[in-house]
Amino acid sequence: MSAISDINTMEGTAVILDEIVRQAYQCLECGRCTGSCPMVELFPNDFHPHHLLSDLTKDPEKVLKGYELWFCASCYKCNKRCPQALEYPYFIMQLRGLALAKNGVVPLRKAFSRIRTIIPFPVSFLSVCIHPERINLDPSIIDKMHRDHLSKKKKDKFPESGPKIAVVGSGPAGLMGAYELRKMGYRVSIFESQTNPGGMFSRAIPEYRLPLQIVLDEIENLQESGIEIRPNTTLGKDITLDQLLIQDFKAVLLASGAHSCKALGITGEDFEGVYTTLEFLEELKIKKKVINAKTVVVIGGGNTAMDAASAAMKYGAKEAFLLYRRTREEMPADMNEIREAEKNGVQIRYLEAPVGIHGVKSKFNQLECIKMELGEPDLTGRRRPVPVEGSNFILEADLLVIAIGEKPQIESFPEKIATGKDSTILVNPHSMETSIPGVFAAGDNVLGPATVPDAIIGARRAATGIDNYIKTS
Amino acid sequence: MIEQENGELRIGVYVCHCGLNIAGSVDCEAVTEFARGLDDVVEASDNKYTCSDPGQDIIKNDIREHKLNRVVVASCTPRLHEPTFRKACEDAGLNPYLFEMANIRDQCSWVHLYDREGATAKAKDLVKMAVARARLLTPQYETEVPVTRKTLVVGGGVAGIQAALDLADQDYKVTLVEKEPSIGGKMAQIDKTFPTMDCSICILAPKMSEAGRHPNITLLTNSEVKEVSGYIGNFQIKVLKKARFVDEKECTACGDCADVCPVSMPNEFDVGLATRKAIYTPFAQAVPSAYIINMDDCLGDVPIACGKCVEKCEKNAINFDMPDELLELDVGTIIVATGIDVYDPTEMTEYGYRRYENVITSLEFERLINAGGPSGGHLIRPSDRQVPKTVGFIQCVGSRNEKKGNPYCSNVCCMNTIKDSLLIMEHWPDTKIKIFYLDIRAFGKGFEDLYKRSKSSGVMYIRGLPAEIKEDPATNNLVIVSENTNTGKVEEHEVDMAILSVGLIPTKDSDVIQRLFTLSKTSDGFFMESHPKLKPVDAPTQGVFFAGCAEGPKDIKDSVTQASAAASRAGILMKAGKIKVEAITAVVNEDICNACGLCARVCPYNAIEVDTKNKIPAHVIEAACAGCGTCGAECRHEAITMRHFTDEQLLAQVDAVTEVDADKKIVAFCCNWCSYAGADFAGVSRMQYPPEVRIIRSMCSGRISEELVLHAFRRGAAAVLVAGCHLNDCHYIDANYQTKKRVEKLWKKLEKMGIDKDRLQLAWISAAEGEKFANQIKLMKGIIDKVSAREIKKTVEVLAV
Repeated sequence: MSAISDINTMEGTAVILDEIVRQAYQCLECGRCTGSCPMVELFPNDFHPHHLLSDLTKDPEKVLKGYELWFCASCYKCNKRCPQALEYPYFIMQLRGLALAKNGVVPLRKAFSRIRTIIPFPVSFLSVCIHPERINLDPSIIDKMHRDHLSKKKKDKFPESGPKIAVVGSGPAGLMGAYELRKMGYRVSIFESQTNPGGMFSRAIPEYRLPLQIVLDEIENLQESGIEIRPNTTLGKDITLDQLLIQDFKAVLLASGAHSCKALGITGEDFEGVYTTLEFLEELKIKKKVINAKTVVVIGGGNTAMDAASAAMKYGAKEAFLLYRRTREEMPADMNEIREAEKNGVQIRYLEAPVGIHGVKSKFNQLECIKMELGEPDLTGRRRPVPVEGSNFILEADLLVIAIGEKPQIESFPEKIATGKDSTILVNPHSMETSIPGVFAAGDNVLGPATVPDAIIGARRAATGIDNYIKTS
Repeated sequence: MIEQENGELRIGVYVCHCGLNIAGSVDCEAVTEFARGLDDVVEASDNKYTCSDPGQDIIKNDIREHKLNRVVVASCTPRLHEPTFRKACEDAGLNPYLFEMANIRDQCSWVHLYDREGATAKAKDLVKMAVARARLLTPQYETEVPVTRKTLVVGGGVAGIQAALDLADQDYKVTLVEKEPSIGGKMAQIDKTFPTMDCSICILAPKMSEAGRHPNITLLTNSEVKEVSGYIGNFQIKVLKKARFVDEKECTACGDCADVCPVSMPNEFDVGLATRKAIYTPFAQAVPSAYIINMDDCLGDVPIACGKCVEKCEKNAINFDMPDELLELDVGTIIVATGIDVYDPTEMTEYGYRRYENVITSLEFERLINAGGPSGGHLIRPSDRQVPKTVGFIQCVGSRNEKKGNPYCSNVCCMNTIKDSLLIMEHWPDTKIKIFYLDIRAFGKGFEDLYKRSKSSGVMYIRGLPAEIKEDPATNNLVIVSENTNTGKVEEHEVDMAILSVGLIPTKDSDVIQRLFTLSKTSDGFFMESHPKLKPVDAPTQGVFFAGCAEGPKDIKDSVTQASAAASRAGILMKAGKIKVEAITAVVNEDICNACGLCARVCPYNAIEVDTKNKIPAHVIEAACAGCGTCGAECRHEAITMRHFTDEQLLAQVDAVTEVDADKKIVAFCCNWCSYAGADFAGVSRMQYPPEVRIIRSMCSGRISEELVLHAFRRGAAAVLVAGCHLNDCHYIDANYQTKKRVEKLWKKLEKMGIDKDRLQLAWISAAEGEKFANQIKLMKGIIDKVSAREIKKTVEVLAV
């Protein structure tokens, strides 16, 4: 497909639109996209993925004028499940570029006014999910929406007498859950382990994608509805679940995320200059530059790895390598993230894996790698990478980021809670209740590292679950 | 016979319109007029359908009337009608090898539908090439070889059994080879069959025992074909009969041995839902009705280790020292009935198969609902062994999917699910059944009735494929999340059990079977037929036929139908007892041969004998020569003549192509079996590509010598393509490895001479890869557009002799 830069010419625009329409015809209307889409759950009357494709085949210009285009949150679940392998989020991204150029920001504003009725941190949400930087959306437009949102937001008046609910974590899931519960009249306290609230929003999303100030503004605004946030309070350390339940909290929502970075299990991971993804992104978020590093190596093939490598390039690295032990075919990162990383100058090296971290005086300077080849498929159907004996080689670098996945910090959970694969909490899919009555969970600690819209719908379900629980018990 | 070799050449050219298939985009009258102007052409005419009886009569009359001694027909592919026209020539007294075809339909009109001018110009060239080759044709005499009246049937599912019985009943000897311990295949695992709801094993078991005791059938179970050599009518087969460790003849299947066996393993027949012992019989009706020991599971025969079964067996049928046997068979025909596997849905993680206990596959369901299965026919869900009150079926799992599983429709899953829904309703009428589907394909006889019966019995059909299945960890109930595409709303359905209707896939070892019998596969991974409409059970390898799912997913009825068809096709060959083989073999001119031995070294069939030490010239063992021509391409002294594909004939075709506008043309050498067929396939599929290419057919890409390629460049051709079968798929064992070597050498040579090596392309294109062929030509059009006149002039000068 043509590159997005072609939008600048009339011809390019027509080619892109034609190609998308051609692909839209291939939709089988099986509905797997709709059933997968968290935005459909949030906005059932505004957005319908394959109806939009069908509309494209009938009248593409009308679609470009519509506001439906602005609801896709680019979570890529539809693409992963589409039997025709249509890359829906990429079509949407390109269509948005065309729509902006042709019809301006009015449709976006209309979508935004819908989004802010449901999502209490709409600008943070949009900044993370629609990737304004990829469609050349002027930052001043986002800024203006942010100011409008803050000024228009009426002081919500909710009852002060309801039962008390504790929410653990103030990331997207915690904030959404707290807001929903507050709307129902509950008194909500959020326990946050960090100083800044916002979870991944304020810790890991690079500043160029989402400025910290926007997150803090939106949370402050949210707090005015009567939500209390207790910073620097870690569950399992400063406070226990039992204590919460004793302190007349009638129910607890665990929204503590997935912050525990997986380790490679090789020597040298404790060297200076070796970071986990979260450490690295947090450092960038504060310092906004890569300190003393010319060459950055990122290990991993997921979206976070792509983000880390892209951010390294944006913040001053001379070169960034990304090592993945399988091929592009098996890579879990969304295609658009891979494209974006490549566009930012990240050099992706396939079929390579680290075997040793070397350094001088515990300071990292060399990564020993080995070439891999693909063997037989494993249980997940992906072909297993097998090291090629004797193919070791050295990669010189100054900074190493290990981005091979995150999981919930199981050690912070109450012992009796039932967990499943990769330390995720098992919940009832309707109510989000855990194996402990009165304790609910939502977000990355249930799903493993997932997306903002998924965290939001989980938290909404949990809020309803808590409401039902309290009303029936 | 008309004597053709002495005297003047008298060529007749017949241009076929093929209705509008050719005439729609080629000016046939102009082509005929052009042909009339060619040297030695004494008669040319065009005709609406040359292959029709009147069309053939014209040729026959002209041969007699105009004393024609060469005939050229410009019509479809020789792969379709060459035999028809050869026969017509023979009927009129002309040696059939004096006939030549120009493929102006499949490789011209159909692929240049919208370029009448380009297509007509190309058709003229193709006719000119055919006439050029026809001038040099010589009469050939076919030899007759005997056909052994025995058949090998590979695979003992219902298709293999049916084919074996049909042939055995006609008194041919059949060897039925099955890799499992019992015949029966997938049908033995299924509970009931659609649309009649017959009990599957009840109708299969009598056939199985009949096959087991038929005097004309030798049953080799637990066996695999290891080696195949020879040719139609005369195949030599090696079969590895793996040790069973239980004497088939002595064993009475009393089961005492299994009672004492201490080892418990998952039973493959019950897809792991039940256990078996290390000594076992897969199912009650197994044929042969004898136990078998899986030595990987067995504790061993050392009395201290175990050996309990040996002590218990009253017939002394157990023998731990039983060796594997390598059996050699001579057969005349082969029937490939290797069947299918079912798709493993683990990779579709959103459905939670293997993660959630109550998500099962349709094959597992068959074993659960079967009275002989692990639950005695009680549908129970695995987590708590309770009868489910609500059941969800999910269709198209691993089918019609470009990413996970396969893009094709698996043909049987819709009807299978409809049948399953009725089975549940029959036993537990209060069950709530929801079927999530994309389309219901109930196309066969009695199918629609069954669908209606299922609907009227209260089964819910919900259009939309579920996005995911979630589990309630407390109850192990499942939540199916799916858009109801009729309403556009996303719904959540809680069910006790979910059944994934999994698709059919080619067997794991289909690659091995492909190599053994030199077969081709279509893009879906199933074996390709010789012709999709007219020879649907013939393999492209002569003497080999297909039965059942090996050729594509199908239900039991179609498998049985095809098996009988395959048996009939094999029977026709064997009834005659002999067959003519094409007279395309190599001959060595011993006067020129200097006994260097190069030809013998490249011959895939060891069909050339040469004594390099004593300088005794090479000679070809004609019965062993398959006619690939690799020897001829390798010979440095032009001592080898490849009958019917001589150097002179091929060079004359190159000359004809390059006579006019050579600098705008691509000379393509394509092998008969794969790439020429692939080009035909592009035609049948109407895949459009630039008309600059001119295809020259040879039996094998190994036939294409350095000189042929260089000659094309010397004559000013813009580019040359050498195309053959994929490596390891060569119709002549491994002759295309010589092609690869030769082209790689040529690239170096061209580079040294300062000729852009991109102008010579090598491509592996299978008979099913029409799109690949079209793309290759598109790519080469880009190359020839860039080649400058100066470059071509320089090439001609460098190569000038």
